[in-house]
Amino acid sequence: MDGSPTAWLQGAVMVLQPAPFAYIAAGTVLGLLFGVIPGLTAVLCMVLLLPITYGLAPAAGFGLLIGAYVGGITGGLVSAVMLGIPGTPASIVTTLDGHPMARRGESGRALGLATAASFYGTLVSWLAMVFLAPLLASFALQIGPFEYAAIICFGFIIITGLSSDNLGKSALMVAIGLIIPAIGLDPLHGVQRMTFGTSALENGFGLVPLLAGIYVVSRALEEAETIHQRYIALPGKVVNVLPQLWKIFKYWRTMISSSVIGIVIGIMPGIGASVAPFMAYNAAKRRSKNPDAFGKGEAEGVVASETSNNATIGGALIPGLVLGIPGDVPVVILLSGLMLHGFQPGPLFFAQNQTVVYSTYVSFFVATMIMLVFMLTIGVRLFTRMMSIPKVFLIPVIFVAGLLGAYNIGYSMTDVWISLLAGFAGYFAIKAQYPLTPLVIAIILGPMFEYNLRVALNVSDGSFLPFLTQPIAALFVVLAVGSVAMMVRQARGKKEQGAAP
Amino acid sequence: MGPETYPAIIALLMVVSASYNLLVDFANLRKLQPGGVSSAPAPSYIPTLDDSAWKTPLAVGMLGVVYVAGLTFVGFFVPTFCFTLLTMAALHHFERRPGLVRQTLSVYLALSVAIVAALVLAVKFLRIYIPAQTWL
Repeated sequence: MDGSPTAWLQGAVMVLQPAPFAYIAAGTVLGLLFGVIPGLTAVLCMVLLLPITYGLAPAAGFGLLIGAYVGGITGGLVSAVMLGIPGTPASIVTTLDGHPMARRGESGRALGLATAASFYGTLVSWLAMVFLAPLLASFALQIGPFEYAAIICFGFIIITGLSSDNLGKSALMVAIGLIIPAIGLDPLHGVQRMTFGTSALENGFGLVPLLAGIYVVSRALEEAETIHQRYIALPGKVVNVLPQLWKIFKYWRTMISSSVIGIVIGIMPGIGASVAPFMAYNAAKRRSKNPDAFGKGEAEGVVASETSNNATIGGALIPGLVLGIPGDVPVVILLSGLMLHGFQPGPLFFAQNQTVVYSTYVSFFVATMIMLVFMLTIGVRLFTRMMSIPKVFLIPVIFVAGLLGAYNIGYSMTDVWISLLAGFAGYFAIKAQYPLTPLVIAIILGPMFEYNLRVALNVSDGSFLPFLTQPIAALFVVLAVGSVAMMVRQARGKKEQGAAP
Repeated sequence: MGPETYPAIIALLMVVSASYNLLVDFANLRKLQPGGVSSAPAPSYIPTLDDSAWKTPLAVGMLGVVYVAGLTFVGFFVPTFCFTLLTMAALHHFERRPGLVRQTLSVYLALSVAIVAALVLAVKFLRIYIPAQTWL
């Protein structure tokens, strides 16, 4: 395990004090609650908590967000099992076998297995992060602006290809996400751009108002569509939860393969907890001696889904913490939290802020333990009752919390209006099936991309040639071009399939 | 690369991708049969909402606009308190009587237009000072 004992100790001392510990616990429980209620997600919870972190010490603020991340991804399993409706997109696959198990009276076993799988998946991904992040960091310190710009460009192409079936829509969202942070002061020369002479736009759009609008306001509007929907859990007592913590080892092969799939998918930018379970589930089904039982209440299906979705957490944090390139949307929020505290995510952040990095490691571990203890003691039973909170109460509260969070950062009403407009635009984008993930990731990565691209071109006197002559930059340029060719080919294949009678 | 070149390139990328999407959408639109069902996907700029679903989000959105206007002109506590309770009450009614949404929406629309018109008149013609009058 890399990292000096001193750095670990300093990280632990920062986190294991009453206040940061309480914030991690609060974040985890709130995340679980948001995960449990269908329609509310880990991202929504993190965006609502983001303005609160502004006034906290870094360890407490990041602990709160990481707790919400771990809790939010895990919480969806309760409604997936008890309602047959996934609490979050990450738990869609859990419904396939978890709910049939609950219907035949095995709700306690299903919830216990899902909780244990979530715990082990998170723990394995935490170990992967602790081992791999320092290795990647030592490599990242050797790369310059050419390489960094090429890596981010490759990331944009991967996001465009994987976040939606429609390449045109994803590309447009990436472009919009790149233009938004370009409004305001130019990062190299301090020249004003696209402000239209308005003082309100001089500093550009704030990150928190945009995130609050895109994720909170649009979500509230989307939930308002299904105001009549009521969630009623299956009747019956939830028993036999705790023994699943060790009985799960019967499925050790599935746990290992699903963890690996989750970590790898988590590392890839733009996709994450909602995609990994499908892949892990299919892998487990292919390997099973009894594949026909999958979809009819097979415990192994629950284990595969929940292990993999939680394993994406550590995977997504690796490129996020080391390179500043988020593997999943919750990491975007986490990186926004870093920026609010004046840190600039990237290789230098990892090298120069070891205490913050190690406190993040410890916070992640503590949140995982709190999640397990809370779920196995009172969480499973408590949340089973809390799933049916009417949307009539939830929507106005979420709407107000999102807008006030936007105001809380800069005490500016302009931010609130921006948030509201971003919410309406986000809602329309959802309805028109334009993906929001590429937009948000491009908003975060846009300034880093522009800065590195322009510094690189200044160094080379405007020549793009070093992108092809420097080995690492050339590798990512080739990967990017190859990915574009593959995506276009796949899109044509789909079109031809659709045209065939 | 100068400060204006980068946004210009991104804007070009936006124009290209938006044009591509429009071309695809118009091609799909042509395939749609009048009054019939087509195998082509619905154009992306047509929101995939059924008639009964879009009215409640619109009502919440309009209440939201009135709320933020309240925050701007009135202050914090009264608009927040009123918005939260009013929205809960409105959603509770919509939940029980979906037909009510349309009538409520028309009231909001008329009210919003009237408020905006009154503000513009007040600032432009009656020269009444409003803190945010530079916006109007």
